[in-house]
Amino acid sequence: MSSLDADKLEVAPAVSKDKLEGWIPELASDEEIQLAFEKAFNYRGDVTITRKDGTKLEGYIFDRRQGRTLTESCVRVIPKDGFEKLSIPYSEIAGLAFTGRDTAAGKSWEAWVRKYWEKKAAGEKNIALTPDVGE
Amino acid sequence: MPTYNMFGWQKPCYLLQDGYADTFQELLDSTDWDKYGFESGNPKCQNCMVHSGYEASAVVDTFSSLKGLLATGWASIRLYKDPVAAEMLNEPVQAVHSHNPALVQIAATAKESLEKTSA
Repeated sequence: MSSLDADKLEVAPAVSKDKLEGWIPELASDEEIQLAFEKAFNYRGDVTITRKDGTKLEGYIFDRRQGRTLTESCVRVIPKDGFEKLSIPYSEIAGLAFTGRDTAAGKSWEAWVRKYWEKKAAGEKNIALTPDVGE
Repeated sequence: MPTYNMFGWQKPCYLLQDGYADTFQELLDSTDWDKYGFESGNPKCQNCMVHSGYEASAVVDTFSSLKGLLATGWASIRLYKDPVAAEMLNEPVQAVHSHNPALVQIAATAKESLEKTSA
């Protein structure tokens, strides 16, 4: 009989999460722009985009499409106060700010288990970890 | 296993999120499928053996013919015995990498933050 542990074979390093809430990337180079929007795509909160014409858009980035140039690359956003899907080329964006609350912060599997055992050690019964109320 | 939600068709499947397509055809055409799947080397896909194929196969087998539907219904209500499957459950666990050199071994240490990847 093998001594291998099936559970250990079925785990991989978790995705590391940067603390992005409040971050305003410089967007000084094409590489920084690509990296910033890749992080924004994985961010679980709203961001504020400032276009080069000065207008601002606050919303959730649900997709990004990277092309060969900034004009061919775009970010796709659902505005905070609407449901339409907007597509904005990177070349039209002057600024990006991670302004919304990161709803995924502190929501790791380990944190969930730790809270569960803390409640159990405190003698709580019918332990339930309820999700956050949406904003 | 594709999924559709308010953002569109999720790339490449419902377990991973690498962007969205507005149509199913766009999902098929614009996804770099070589980056995903059991044999791609993508560590996120290494333990995905259920929804990537087996479940879809079962659904197709069930609903593509009356025989398949009846067989699934019958298997659902009777005490289903499969001696071959039962025997496989008693086989020792095999190291994935040495058992199949085409796979990527997932390295993990006790100190690293870990997450389950099994579906």
